[in-house]
Amino acid sequence: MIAMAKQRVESPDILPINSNVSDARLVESARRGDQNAFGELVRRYEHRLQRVILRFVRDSELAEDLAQETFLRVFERLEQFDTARRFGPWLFRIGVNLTLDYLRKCKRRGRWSLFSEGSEDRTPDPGMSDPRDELDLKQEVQAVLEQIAEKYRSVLILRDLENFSTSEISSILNRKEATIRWRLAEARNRFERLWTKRQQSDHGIVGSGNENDEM
Amino acid sequence: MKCKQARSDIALFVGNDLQEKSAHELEQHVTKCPQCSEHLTSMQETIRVFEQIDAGLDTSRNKSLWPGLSKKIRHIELASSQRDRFNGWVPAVAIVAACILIAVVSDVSTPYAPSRVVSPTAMPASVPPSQNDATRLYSDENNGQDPWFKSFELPVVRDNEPPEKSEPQSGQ
Repeated sequence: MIAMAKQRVESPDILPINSNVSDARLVESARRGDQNAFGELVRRYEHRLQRVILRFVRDSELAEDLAQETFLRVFERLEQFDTARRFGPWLFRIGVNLTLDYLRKCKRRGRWSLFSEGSEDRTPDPGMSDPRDELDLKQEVQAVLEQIAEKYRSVLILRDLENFSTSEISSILNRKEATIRWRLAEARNRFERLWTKRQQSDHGIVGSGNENDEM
Repeated sequence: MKCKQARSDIALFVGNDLQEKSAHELEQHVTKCPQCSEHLTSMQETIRVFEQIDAGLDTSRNKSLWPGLSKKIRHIELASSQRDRFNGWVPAVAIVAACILIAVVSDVSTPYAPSRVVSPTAMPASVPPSQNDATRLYSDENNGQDPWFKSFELPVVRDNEPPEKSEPQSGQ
């Protein structure tokens, strides 16, 4: 009985929309004021979006906040969306831009040294299901990634960690696909150089390896 | 193929991002070039690192954002509708107020005062009429005399009648 009552209270959030409905149709319904349609879009993309943002910020609460802010911006700009295009890349473009802007602001304020080695000692987020043996490797990779300039690092994260295609990345970052492919090759080469150096120096600090001055 | 180009292609090749034709050319180059072959091996090992850490990040068990978002969206829509209502009547009221203000200000600042201007004493016979005061010029309250512009009128010519000789007006 209690469970039924609870279900009734939560019913506005239970969406009766068929999952086969295309994103474009959901966008059109949402534009006409159908909040459930927008809710369906949120449900389709929220976990992937949080995951992508988490790759950049490494803080699940912050990733959640940024994802929520992304959806609010998307809702406010829904009229600007061209339904002939794909909704996903548009959403991720807003989300990634929002995240990168946030990180740049933090970097300017000095609250969060984005490219510093300090994050290596960051306490692991309890919300992330990281097995203990993977933790060190992850932190090592993160430390190397942070030494790579943002424009290469973003491509590397989206392609090699989030498995977006180069075409999708070109939509997300609003660059030509040829540019994305060139940056991807450059990013992998830079990562390989830094990673190899790091492995060779037996996890020692690579002093001159920071590439952020090249941005 | 030069080694510099091969290094760039290797970076794409290890992630299956190289086109088939270029991949074939690269394979031919790598078989001949030990440095590039070594680089390919190192790059393949590096890419495997990403695969190892990829599995650990799971957000699918996170709570849905929608309950919190839907509340915020309702607030946004409410604020938007209030703003629309405000934007509807405020400009209309402002325009009406501006029109009233313009009408009042123009009425006060205009020197037009018919009762004073059309006074017979305002235009003595000896003083030529001012161009600025059309009201006075066309006033028919001119002490019973013909107004000044009558002197410029041409005589009316009628059929079978000789034209009358106009008499000059007194004092003109």
